[in-house]
Amino acid sequence: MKLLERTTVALVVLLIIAFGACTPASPDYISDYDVVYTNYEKSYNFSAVNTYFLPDSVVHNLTGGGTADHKFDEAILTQLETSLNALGWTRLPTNSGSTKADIVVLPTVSEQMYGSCAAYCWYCDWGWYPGWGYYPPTWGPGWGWGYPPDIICSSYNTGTLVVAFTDPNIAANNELPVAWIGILNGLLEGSDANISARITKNIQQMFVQSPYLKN
Amino acid sequence: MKKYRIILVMAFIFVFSSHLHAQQYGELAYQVSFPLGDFKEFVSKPSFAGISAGYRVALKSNPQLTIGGNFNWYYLSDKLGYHTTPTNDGGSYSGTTTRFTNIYSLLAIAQYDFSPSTDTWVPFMKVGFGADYQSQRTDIGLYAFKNDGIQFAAHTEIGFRFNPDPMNGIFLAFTYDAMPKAGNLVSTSIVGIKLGVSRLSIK
Repeated sequence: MKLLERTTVALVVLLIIAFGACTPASPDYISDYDVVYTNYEKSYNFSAVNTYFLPDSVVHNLTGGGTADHKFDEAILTQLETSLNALGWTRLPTNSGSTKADIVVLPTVSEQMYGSCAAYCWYCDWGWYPGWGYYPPTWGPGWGWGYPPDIICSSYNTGTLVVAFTDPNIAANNELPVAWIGILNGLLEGSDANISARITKNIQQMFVQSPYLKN
Repeated sequence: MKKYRIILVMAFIFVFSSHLHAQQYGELAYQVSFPLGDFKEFVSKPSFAGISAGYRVALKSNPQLTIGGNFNWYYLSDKLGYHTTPTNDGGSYSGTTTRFTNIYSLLAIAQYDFSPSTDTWVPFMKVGFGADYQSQRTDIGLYAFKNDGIQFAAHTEIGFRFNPDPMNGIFLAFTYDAMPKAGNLVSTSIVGIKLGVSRLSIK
């Protein structure tokens, strides 16, 4: 009988624990939040690409105003050139006159800041509140402590790098065809060296998950 | 229309209740679950978080046959680590990926005990039908893809109960739950091993 009662108690405890653990733990590292997405135009013949033009600067999309921060441009351009050359393509210094590249590579970055506030209304379920006239803000003068702050705000920055392969040679109707697109999104947090390393690694990943680009 | 439905259900319960025995069973169980089929592609790892609670009443005509209801909760998760997922349009995305789901099902059940219910060892079989609410989620980086909704749910169970005394029992059972695809929810099949306790009370 005792065994049965103990088993029942154990199961109830398990139930309580299980309900409290119904979502997995959050990622441990900033890099765990990085996402790389790629897609391509299925009818485009990538095996016909031999040359590319990569501008010497990165476009910064400042939707909310502000000043562009170019400190990661070099890491972006260097890794793009390395990855594109590894495809067997040749970088052309210009894309005008008689030297037209097969594709033009357009890197664009943007930053977003997200903010959120959460209200922690710890007393809301206590039926007796309000009604204790001396509360808030403290239990009374001289007690020296107040109630917990009931609104907590936080914010974080994210960065997005969009790399587009465009083919101006087949542009029509004022539209620039995009043959391939790679998007990197992640938290813009951590040291500059860490962010640069993550940019490099994730640009490499764009090409790893796009095997159809290889001649 | 709604009023007539309520009257119909109440009439059914009233008529049916006259066939019910005074024996009632309460049950609580812990379950280890293993995903199968298409669902295994969504979450491949076994789950050690599963609970069910039930209530059954014996029929007067056959006290070995009991009917009642069951509530089940299963949580399955799979941390895939860095993972590349293809999209339907030929693209792909990569990132640290975690998939998990919470399943809450409510079932009408019938259980048949193959020997008198107060015997020391009682093999039994249980079937149940009802509905479940499931929330399937894939977290990747800062993003989450969430599909949730209601599915039809079917449940079968076979096992045995050990009664140390006529009023209390410990049971071990193998279970199978099936929930067909609904909307964007992946069809769900789970086999499980259930360990629980039951208690008989007589009105």
